[in-house]
Amino acid sequence: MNPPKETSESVFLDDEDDDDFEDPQIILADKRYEIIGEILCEVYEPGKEKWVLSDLMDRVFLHKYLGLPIFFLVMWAMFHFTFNASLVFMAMTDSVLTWIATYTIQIPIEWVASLVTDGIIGGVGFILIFLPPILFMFLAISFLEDSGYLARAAFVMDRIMMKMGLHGRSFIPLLLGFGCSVPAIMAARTVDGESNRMTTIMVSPLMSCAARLPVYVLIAGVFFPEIAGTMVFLMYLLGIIMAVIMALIFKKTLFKEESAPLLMELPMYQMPTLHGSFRHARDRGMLFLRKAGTYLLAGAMIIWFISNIGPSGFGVPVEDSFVAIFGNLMAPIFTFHGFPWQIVTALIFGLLAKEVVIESLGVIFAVQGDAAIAATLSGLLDPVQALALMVFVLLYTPCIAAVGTIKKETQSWKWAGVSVAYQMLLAYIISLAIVIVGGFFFG
Amino acid sequence: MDSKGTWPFIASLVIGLLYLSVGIISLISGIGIIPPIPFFGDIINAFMIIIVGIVYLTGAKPLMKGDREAFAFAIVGSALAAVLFILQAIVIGTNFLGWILQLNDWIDWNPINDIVPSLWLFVIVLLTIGFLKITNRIGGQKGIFPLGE
Repeated sequence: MNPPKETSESVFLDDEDDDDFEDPQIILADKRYEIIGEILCEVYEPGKEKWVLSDLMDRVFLHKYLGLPIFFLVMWAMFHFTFNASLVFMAMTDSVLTWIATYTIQIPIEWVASLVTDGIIGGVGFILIFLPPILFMFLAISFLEDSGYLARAAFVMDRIMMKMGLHGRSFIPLLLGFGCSVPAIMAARTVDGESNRMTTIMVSPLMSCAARLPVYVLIAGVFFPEIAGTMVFLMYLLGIIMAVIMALIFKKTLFKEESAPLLMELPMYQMPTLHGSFRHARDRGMLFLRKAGTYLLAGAMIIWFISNIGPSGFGVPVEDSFVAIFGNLMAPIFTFHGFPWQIVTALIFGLLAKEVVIESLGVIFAVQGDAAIAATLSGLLDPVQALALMVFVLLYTPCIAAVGTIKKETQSWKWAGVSVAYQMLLAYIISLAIVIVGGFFFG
Repeated sequence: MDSKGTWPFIASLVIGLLYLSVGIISLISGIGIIPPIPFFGDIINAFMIIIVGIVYLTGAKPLMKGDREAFAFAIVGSALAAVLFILQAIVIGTNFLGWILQLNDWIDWNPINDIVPSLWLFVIVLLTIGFLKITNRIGGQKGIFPLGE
């Protein structure tokens, strides 16, 4: 039997100002452990060993100065693994889909051949290419979660957030945002205080969800092939940084309230099991496949339909279709970014769900295979614009489901509207800044 | 400080300095201050290696003072080094798979290009730990964490 684990709290209490000891949560925790200590004194015979390995490791992982660099190292390793290890499996999936497309294109009825090849394989199939990195990312997240490190990550970030006057517990829902924004927004219920909860809800969508990963993987792979894994990591890092900055702004303006320290029981470190991690990754993969097989499929068919029909009828070139008309109508918004209408259309469709960005590009470009889409993309954008596009995808509204969840959690369309508006504005300004600054240096 | 406290301190110091110096060389090489050096990786890799080196070195000082709890720094440093090593090994493994399958992007794959410092530095760590274990200079019969004694 090991002594009660209060290392984490002790570590943080040591670092805080004396004022923090007045906090009721800390007093309650102190009392709780005092009682636990008294009980243990009566029933527990301490062994020779003063510390267990888990406590020792916390001394390093929660170290005042080393904690954050270690967190960055772990995060980088996770995304490096996600991207680089999945490349070959993406290429294999791509090869299989391209091979299937060589047969479907031969279907005698032309529009059916186009629907299956350009719509379904070009749209949903193109999304499926990105299933391996999604599986690998969830495998890595599950591994970190099961090892007990993810809880420490919240503590490490808490120290920074506390210094900025934010509520440390907010970072736990934010971490969930790596998977999906919807549960992250819902998890804000666990945050104490209405202002803290609202701040967490508002910034949760800025955390990069799994649906954005295919966009990063595609663009980073095309424009930054040598450092693609690092670029993906930087996108996730930027998401965290922007969430912290926006939370700070919200706390100083809309949701003023004193922050409370983070009190959290840390689990012991343990060796994750391959079985558990694979099961988690498989579950997430199945969820993704179900999504691909249902509304992403429906979305691909709709996008295919409107990219084949125009004022002059059905079967028109995509440049004369309603999609192009719509895209060209909206493209002036992104004149300064230099995004062509195809990208603008994909971004607008991406409001439904981020996977649709990739799906739309696959259908609109009407080419099969990762390499063909990569070639088309590199003809439309330069690396600076590509980076701006990645940042825009990171920061703008994640999906319609997230907006609905914000409305549900805040019981207000007003806050859902504010969330959408500030994210769009933020995405627009930051991506434009990248284009301007990048153009200045590399133009 | 007895001999069992000296050797972990020396090992942490040597490994830490090795990681730190390789990381710094990789960094200045990556920035372009000195010409590129084979097997020294890129800037981001350099930062990661520097972090591992700093973790080792942070533990060296308390180890020198006989603080056995500072073994944690060596353990975490080694764990991080292992993570970077395994990560690169997986990348090489998957690249090898692509090359075996003769996929387009892997036809010209050369394993030499995938050799980065995190790979060969960890081999040095393993050799150091192995040497210390064999010569019984750390741990001994009571294991590596004779804490609280």
